[in-house]
Amino acid sequence: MKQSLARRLLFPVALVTGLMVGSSLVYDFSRTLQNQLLHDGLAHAGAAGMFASIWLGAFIAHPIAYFRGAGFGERLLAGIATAIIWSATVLARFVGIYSPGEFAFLFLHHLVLGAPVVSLLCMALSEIICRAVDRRKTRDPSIHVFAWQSCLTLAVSLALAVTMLWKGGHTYYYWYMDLYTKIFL
Amino acid sequence: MTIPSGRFCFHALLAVGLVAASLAAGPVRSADMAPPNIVFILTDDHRWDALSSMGHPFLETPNLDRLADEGILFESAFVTTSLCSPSRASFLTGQYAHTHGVVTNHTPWDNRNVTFLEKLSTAGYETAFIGKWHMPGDGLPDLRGIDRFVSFTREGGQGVYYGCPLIIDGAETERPGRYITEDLTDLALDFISKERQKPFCLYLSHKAVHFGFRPPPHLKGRYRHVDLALPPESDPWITYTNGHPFVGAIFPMDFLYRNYCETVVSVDEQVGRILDALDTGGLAENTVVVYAGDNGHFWGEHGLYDKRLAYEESIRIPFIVRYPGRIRDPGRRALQMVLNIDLAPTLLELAGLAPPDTMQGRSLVPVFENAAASSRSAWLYEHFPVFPIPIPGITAVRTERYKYVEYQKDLRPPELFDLQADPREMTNLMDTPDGAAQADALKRELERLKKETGYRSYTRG
Repeated sequence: MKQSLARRLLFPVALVTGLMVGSSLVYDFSRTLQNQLLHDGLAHAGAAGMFASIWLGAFIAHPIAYFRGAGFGERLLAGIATAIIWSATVLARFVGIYSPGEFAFLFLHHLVLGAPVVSLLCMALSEIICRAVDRRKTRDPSIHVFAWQSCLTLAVSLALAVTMLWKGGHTYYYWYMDLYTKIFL
Repeated sequence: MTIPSGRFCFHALLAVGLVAASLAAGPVRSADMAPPNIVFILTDDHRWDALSSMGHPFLETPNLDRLADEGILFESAFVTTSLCSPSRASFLTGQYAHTHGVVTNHTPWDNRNVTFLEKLSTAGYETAFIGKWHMPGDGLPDLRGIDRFVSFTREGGQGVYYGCPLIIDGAETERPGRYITEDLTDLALDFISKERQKPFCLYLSHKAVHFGFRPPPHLKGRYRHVDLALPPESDPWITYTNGHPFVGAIFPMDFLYRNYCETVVSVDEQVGRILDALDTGGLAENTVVVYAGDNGHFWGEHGLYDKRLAYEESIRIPFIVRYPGRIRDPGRRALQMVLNIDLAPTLLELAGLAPPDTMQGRSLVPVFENAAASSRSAWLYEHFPVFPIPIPGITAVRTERYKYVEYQKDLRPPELFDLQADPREMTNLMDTPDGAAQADALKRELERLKKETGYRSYTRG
């Protein structure tokens, strides 16, 4: 059953993004605490929340969107929206430091692209899992577990992730910096 | 009252006369003493307090401690730019980054730059550059005055800890299985032990203790169970947050720090080999040994990791000089503020050469000879944006008591710290009445230093 836009898309995105914002605030706040036990506890909790929301958030947002009737495009957006918002906050740290051209080049940096790409990968995996669960639950043979959209998303995101993480990201980084040097220096 | 006998008076006068004469003579080294050999050991990211002699809670650095016991440990030593390439170029040229032009890790070395090695070579020294070059440009530079040049270009010049191919006098050689700190030390020992008639200057520049902090097998796990005593505001996740992943060390802080400390011990061991070789070769007496780091490192202080910023953890370095032939009162700690740009003029003066006017550092020889020698009262710190790191350009002035920091385009509010009352720089005084009173004078001093050093801003790199 297709639910309202707010319930099928905005809610899951807000849930994961809220977790990301809340855990970031908790993490940053922890550093101001004098009590070492409290400091450590909140730092660990904040870091765990950030990791879950930024890198694995698609596994939370996507299933909600899926089972509330969101279309594939909406499910994809639900899966990667928080990561994109996170990357925007990362980019915000650079505002004013470098030229507009260099700022634009940052969009290709693996630490900017990384979270959306990994979220895309998680979304594709979640899509396959959700389809399998849905098919089993509804006994509907028209639901294909390996639909072409999810397979394509999986293939593209996996290729991008491997490219960016190969040899711990060093290969991509040196390629990126070589390109930077050629363009800007 | 007892009147001294004539004999006593004579001896007293003689003693006073000898002391006065020796003080007037200045240098311990006599005019006909051979020019000293020079061994300069530069490490990467070794911060000033990562030495047991600086009170580190668990690090064991007996060889560096020995060096300090037999020489001078400069407790207030700094770099003018806390970043590898600019700092290395400053050591070599005696100049600020804005003068030698290597303002970041991406801006190329200018082969027209004059190094102390070139000057020493011209004066008859046999010279060797062994180790990390790590300055941008097409491969390795065309360094003048180098008789032996061993370096590496792997990973953008950072090198790797194991099996790092070395370029030895232009020929790339594989080093399978070799641990780089030991490998470079072996080559340094070959150079030191060579038969020669001339004095030598060895520039030994390690990859260690830069990330990825890989100790040799026999030291791996040495500090696995120790309490790291990291600062209270530190936590394991700092390296993953607040822009720190851009410096490329995405591992928990405590894991990195343990490996860092174990790698420092490995450097210490290799320094010991150098000292032993100087002893056994009978060279120690007339060899200047200088040990320095190219910049400091944050381990959670201020919630930070890496370096670059103008806080003490980033800009202070270990700086130890041993030269039995010239240093009075060895084993002392010097509190004078000294800089990386002071190395080149110091070595030239020790070699009997006049430092060129283009060098912006000051010779430390007066401090070698007199513990109370005066030094600079303030100095300029500069940092230029290094793409893609989210830290703006910085200029700062540091005096013995205060530090005032400005950020490019006011992207961050200025900072003022009272280093005596607040050595960890936790309280920015800019918004306090006391701070406002100090800030004006410090701003003027900053502008004066910029003018004096010919400062110019770079916004790209």
